[in-house]
Amino acid sequence: METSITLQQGICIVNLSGRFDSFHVNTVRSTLAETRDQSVHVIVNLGVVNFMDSSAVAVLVNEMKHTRQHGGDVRLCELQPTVKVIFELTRLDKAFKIFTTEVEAFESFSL
Amino acid sequence: MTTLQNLVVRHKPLFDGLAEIWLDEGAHEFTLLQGDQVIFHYPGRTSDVTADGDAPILDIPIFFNGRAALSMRLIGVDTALIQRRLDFQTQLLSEILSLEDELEGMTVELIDTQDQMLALYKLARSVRTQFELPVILETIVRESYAILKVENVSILLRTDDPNLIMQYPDDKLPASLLTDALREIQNHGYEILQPPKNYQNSGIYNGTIIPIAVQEKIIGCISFVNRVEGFDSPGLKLARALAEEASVQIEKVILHQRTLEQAKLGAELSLAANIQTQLLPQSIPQIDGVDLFAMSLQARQVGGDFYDMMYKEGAPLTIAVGDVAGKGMSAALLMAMTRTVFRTWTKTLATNQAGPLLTMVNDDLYDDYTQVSSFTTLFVGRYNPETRLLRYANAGHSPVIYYTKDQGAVLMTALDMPLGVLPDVAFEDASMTLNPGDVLIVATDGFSEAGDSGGNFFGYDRLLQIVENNAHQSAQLITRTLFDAIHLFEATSNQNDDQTLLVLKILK
Repeated sequence: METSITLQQGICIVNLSGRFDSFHVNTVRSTLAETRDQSVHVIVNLGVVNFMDSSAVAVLVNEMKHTRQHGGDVRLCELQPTVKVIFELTRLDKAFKIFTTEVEAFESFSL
Repeated sequence: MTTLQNLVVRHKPLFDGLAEIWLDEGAHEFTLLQGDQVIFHYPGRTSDVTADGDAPILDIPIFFNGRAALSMRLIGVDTALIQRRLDFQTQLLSEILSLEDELEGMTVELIDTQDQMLALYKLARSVRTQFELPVILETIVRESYAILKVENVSILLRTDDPNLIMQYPDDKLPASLLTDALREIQNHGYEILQPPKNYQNSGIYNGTIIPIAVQEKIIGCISFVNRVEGFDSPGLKLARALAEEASVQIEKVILHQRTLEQAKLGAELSLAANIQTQLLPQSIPQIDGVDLFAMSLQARQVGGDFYDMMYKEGAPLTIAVGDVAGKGMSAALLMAMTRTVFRTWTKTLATNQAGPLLTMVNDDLYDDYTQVSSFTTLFVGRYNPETRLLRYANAGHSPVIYYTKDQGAVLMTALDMPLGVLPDVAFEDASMTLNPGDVLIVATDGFSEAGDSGGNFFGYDRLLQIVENNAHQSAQLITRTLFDAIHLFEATSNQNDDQTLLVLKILK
C-alpha cells in the first residue's frame, strides 16, 4: 500500500492507494500521525483504494475524531463505488464529510 | 631449555653414532655446538691427537626453522670428500629435527584440543538440566575460569530486565567495561581482542571480549581477562569455544522461557475463548410462530463478533448481532463490554423500542471505543410475536437481509453510523410488520467479505441468491446452507474474519 502527504495552504492531502485492510492499517496510521505535525485539516483521497475493511475504516474514524477534537476534520474524496458502498451501508457517510472531487473537499475547508 | 635443545638431547644416540663414525675415520674431535655453547663433545681416542694444535677444523651449520641454529665441528679431518659427507649428514639432521619439531607441535595441539573438548563436555553436562538463566551464567563463568586459567570471567546479557552481569571469581571488572564493549561489539559486529585502552590502568594486562548471540542476534558478551599464558592461537580458540558454548546454553534457556511464556499465553487465550463462548446465548428461545437460529465462528481463538437473543413472555423478543472493528483480544474485550452494557439497558430501559438502546450503549461506551480506536456495528431487533411488529435500530451493521415472498431478498441499509464514531447520537428507531414466510437474516461482514484464494469476495449478490433459494427452509437449515456456501468459497484461503449469522423466520 502506497501513501503520500502533500501540504497545500494549510491542508494536508493524504493519498492512499491499493487495498486498505488490517494488513496495512499500521502504515496508514503512521502516515496520518505524520499529518498531525502539519495540520488538523486533512483530506484523504481514496481515488485509487479499491477495498477497505472495518479496521481500515476504524483508522479513519479515529483520525477524524482526533482532528475534530482539535478544531479540524478528516474529509474524504474520490471514493470508488466499492468503497463508497461501505460508507453508505454502514452510514458512516453520516459521520464523514465525503466529496466527489479533491477540489470540492479542498474548498469545503474554506480556510 | 629451548625446544631445539630438548629435541637434540632427546636424539643424543644419533649424535653418539655420528661421533663414533667420524672418530673411527680419524677425526681428533667431534663437537655439537649451539652458537658458542657446547652441547655434546666427543674427544678423540688418544691424548696426542687432541694435543695437535695445527689440525684442520671443519664447522658445518645445521639449519632449523630456516636459520643456522647448530653446528657440527670436526677437528683433524679435512678433505673435499669429507666436507661433502658432512654437508649431507647435516642436511639429514636438519630434516629430522624439523620433522620431529612439527610432530611434537601437532601432538601438543592434539592434546590441547582433547583437553578443550573434555572441558567443554564437562561444561555442557553441568548445565544440561538447568533452565534458570542466573544459574547457567554462574556455571559458565566458573567453569570457563577453571578451563581457561584467567583471573576473571564475566558475562553481560542484555535482557528485558536490567542487564544481567555475572562475574567469577570476584566482581573486580568494572561493569562499564562490559557495557562499553557490548556497545562496540554491537556496532562493529565482532570480538575485541585487546582490553580497551581506558581500562588498562585497572590492572588488566590482557584479555578478549567475545559476543554472545541468540538466534544470530548479539545479546551480550563474555570477557576473559588476565591470562598468564596469553591469548595466543590455542588460548583464543579455547576462549571462542567457551563463548560459543555459552551462546548455545543461553539460547537454550531463552527459547525454553519463550516456549513456556507462549504456553501460558495460549492457556490464558483458551480460557478467554471459553468465557467468550459462554457469553453467547446457550439456548435458543422457543416462541410460538417464530423460528430462530444463530451461529458464530471466530477467525481466531477470540473475536469481536457477537449475537444475543433475549425473551421473556409478555415482552418482545430482542435479537442483536454486533461486530467490533479489529480482531483479537482488544476486540474480544470490547465485545464483552458491549454485550454487557447492551443487556443491562435492554433489561432496565422501560421501552419496547430498539433505537434508545443503541443511544444508551453509545453514550456509555463512546469513550472506551475512542480509547482503543475502535467502533462497533450493532443491529437490534425487538419483535412482538402477537402483533408481528418488528422494531429495529441499526448502527452501521451490514449485511442485513430481509426476505419476503413478494419482493425476494433485499439488503437493508443501516439507519445510523456505528457505535463509538460520534458522541451524543440519537439512534433512529424504525418498525415494520413481518408476515408468515418472511425471513430476516442478520450477518456480519465476515460473510459478505469472505474471500477466495483469487482475492474475490463472496459479496452481497451471492448472499441474496442463496437466501432466495433457501428461504423456504428452517432457520437452522438456512444458517447451515449459508455457512456451507462461504466455507466452500473460502476453501482455498484462510478464514480472515469472524463470521456470525442470526436467522429469524416468521412461521405464523
